[in-house]
Amino acid sequence: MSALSPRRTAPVTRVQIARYAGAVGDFNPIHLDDAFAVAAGLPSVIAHGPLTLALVIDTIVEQVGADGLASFDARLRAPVLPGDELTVEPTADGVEVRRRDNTVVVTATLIQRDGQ
Amino acid sequence: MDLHSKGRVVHQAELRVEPVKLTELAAAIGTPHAALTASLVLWFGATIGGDQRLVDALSMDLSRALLSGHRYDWSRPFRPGESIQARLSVEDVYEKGTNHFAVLLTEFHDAAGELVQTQRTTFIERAAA
Repeated sequence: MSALSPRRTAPVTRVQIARYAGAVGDFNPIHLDDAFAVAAGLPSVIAHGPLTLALVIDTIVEQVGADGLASFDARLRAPVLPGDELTVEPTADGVEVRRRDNTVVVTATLIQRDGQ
Repeated sequence: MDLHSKGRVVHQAELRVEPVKLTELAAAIGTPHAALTASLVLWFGATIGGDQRLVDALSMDLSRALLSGHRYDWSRPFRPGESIQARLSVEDVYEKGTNHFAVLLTEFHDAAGELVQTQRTTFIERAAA
């Protein structure tokens, strides 16, 4: 099992959220329409939860490769907004992810594949 | 939320790992190694059946529902161009306090019948105000 290092993602952008919506076919307006998101009580549109997880998994794939991951079990704790950089900190059994204002947005346990 | 929907199969479909979709997803992730990541997270199980099919199967009120958890178990990455059998079912539905939870299980098998990955998606439906 490889020890992971901390990582920080690039800021999440609205274009990125739109690209993700198109790639997976999830056009829920809470991710794309500010007026809709504000009416729902949010400051702005939010990233899709699975996009946030993909960005977190990407920081792990960078370190162990796609074949090096066996399992990733995440809890989504707070929304991710455009402009947020995600810091991914290793924990005893996974990672903890914070957005720019230090709020924990994701906690996850992960299992690396044997022999990695 | 329908607490009796446990065990229900929501959708089954044969899918193709479309290279163009892998490329689009990698572009959304936007890093030099994003193509590798895309081969792990190409599909998000809960959207495979279409939102409405899922909402109908669970009798879920979307205005009170949130994605609260997601788990991946991988046997291997998806390969561009391969055929995949996807099966989406309701693994569990339960009450905790005044909230309802549903766990959606999506299993992906390859053409040889080997498991490629599973996803478990947990939705929380908060109590009506």
